[in-house]
Amino acid sequence: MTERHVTVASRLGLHARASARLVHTANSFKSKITIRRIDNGRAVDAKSIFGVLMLAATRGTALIVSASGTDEVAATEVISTLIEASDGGKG
Amino acid sequence: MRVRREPAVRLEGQAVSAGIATGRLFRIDIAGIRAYPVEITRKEIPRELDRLRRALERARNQLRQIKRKLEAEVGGHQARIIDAHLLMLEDRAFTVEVRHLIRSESISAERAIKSSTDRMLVACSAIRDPYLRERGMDILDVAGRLLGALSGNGRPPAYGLPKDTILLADELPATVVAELDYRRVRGFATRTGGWTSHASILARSLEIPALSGLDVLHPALRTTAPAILNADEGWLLVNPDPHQLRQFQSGRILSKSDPKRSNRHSPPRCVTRDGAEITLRANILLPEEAEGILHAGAQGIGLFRSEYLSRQSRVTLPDELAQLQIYRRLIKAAGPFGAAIRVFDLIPPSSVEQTGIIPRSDLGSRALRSLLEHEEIYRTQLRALMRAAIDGPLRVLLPFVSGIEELREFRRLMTETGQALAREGIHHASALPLGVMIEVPAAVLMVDLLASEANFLSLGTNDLIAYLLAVDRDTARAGQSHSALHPAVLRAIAQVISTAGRRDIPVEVCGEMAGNPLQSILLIGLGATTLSLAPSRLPLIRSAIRSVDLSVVREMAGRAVASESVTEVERLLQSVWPPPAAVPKAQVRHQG
Repeated sequence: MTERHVTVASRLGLHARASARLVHTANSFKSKITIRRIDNGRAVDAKSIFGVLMLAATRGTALIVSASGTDEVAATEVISTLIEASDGGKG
Repeated sequence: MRVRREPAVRLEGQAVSAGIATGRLFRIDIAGIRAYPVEITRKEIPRELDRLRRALERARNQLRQIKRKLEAEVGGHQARIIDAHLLMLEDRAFTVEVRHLIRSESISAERAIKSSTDRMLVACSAIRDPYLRERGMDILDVAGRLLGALSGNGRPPAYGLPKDTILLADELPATVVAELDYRRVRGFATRTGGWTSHASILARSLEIPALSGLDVLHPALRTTAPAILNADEGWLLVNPDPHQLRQFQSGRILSKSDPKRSNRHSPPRCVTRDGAEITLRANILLPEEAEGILHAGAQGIGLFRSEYLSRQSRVTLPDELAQLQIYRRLIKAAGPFGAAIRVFDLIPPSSVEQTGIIPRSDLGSRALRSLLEHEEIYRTQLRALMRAAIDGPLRVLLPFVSGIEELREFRRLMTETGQALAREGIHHASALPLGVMIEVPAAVLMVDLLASEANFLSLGTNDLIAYLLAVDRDTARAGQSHSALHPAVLRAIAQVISTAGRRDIPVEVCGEMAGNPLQSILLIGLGATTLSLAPSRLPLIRSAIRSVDLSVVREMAGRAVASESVTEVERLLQSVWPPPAAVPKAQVRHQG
């Protein structure tokens, strides 16, 4: 299993559009990908839009991305990068 | 012979998309998902699962269609929110749960969907962040669509709208707005949904007048009741008398006869009764808010507080390219009038996070006072600003300035940045107009010097009031009108405006005073000709200014500056405000 600590950078948090992009991307990997909030331990499946929305991660929320499977390293890397990307222009 | 009419009722609301519309009310219910307490037999389970599968397919097709319609009519950015809805329909966590509920509890697909989405809605309503909490709306929207699809409803519900409809709803999901036959919809009236809700943004893109914050449950608001919706002034008049209706109908023909053609429709002008034109601009908090401000009557952006891009220092600041994209977007929204972008007003982060207020000890390093320490941050921001300025007029505003050195330092940085960009062969605009925020009392005392080197001034009344009267910002806000009317504040404002006038440089007012009708009158009396305010306040301030004579408020303001006390200023203001009614009066009577 690969893990990484990340912080939500988008001004609006993981909002509808950002979550959609994240879930789309997560579904392109074979690994099981989980996102966990550090503050309350709540964990959700990164491939579920409802899960990601229910995480209610606002800007600055500290999260742990973990993946296990054949492409876990790439999955952790890419999903973490998305969470840490600020809203460069398109929300 | 007199025709019996229903009594006229006037309701106030917040304008979220400007314009005036006349038509008949049509109420739609979206939020009210009915319960489907239908239990099924074991044998019926496969049939129920099959219905669910087909409904999911149908709902997906509808959403894809909506997405294409949005892409064609308002652009890809808005269309992207449909992606989230599509993903919800494809979400395995959701579909697996619904299937499981149908099987394990022998219930209809409708009831299983309702049970599953209700649980999520409860969780959603507990979310503290207001923006994310609004996502409950998306869940409700998707659930509603799925239930519609289950009942075999392949046609979007809005197809049957009568023409000249003023749509009335508790709330309007974006997908419902997107599906409407716009040629038939004249206006939106809702209870919830602020300036930045998806539906409001769409309404502005489509140039359909919209009001929010209305008491939509008022008994007079019946489907088919005639109404005038005035989003320029923020009211809905139900059952107007025929004379009023005719007046506005003819007005509508002038300004918005065809929403598809009204790109040429110029925003309402803000002119006093004696013909003095006042420029209104928009204060923008989030880039999303900037869309549609021209149509709302703003002449560009008067203030974008760029530090919102980096509220907390735990999070890295957006890099040059990310900033560039945001500034370009703002310039585009601001149109020919341009945008004033205030550079990062960096506040030492640790203390802000904990208490939400700025302790006095940290003020010393706020904004440009720590320019040398943060030179790299401002260099990056300047690069993005200078590159973006190729696209259109862009002004740079410096916050929290107390003396001339900060301005000179920043100008040096701008020159250096321009040289660096030139060396790298990067296309950029070289000398951007540099403005100074007048919000620290010291800047008022130094204003003659600042005005001789700055390209424009911008009065930030919130901080100015707080620091001038030595009250903290929250107190200043709570007792806003009281503090803002202090003669010391008026003298400071008058001094800044007259100095700028002598030096022949523009001065704008961008604090909360500009968005308060009474105080905006006082400001123009003090000589202000440009006010910048929250977009949602534009109609209110425009109608306030249109109702007074500049000569009268000038005279009043002159005496206010010489007043001894707040009480005296208040009395003077009462002599000119409220003015003789300028808005059509309706008997506010309730039915029954």
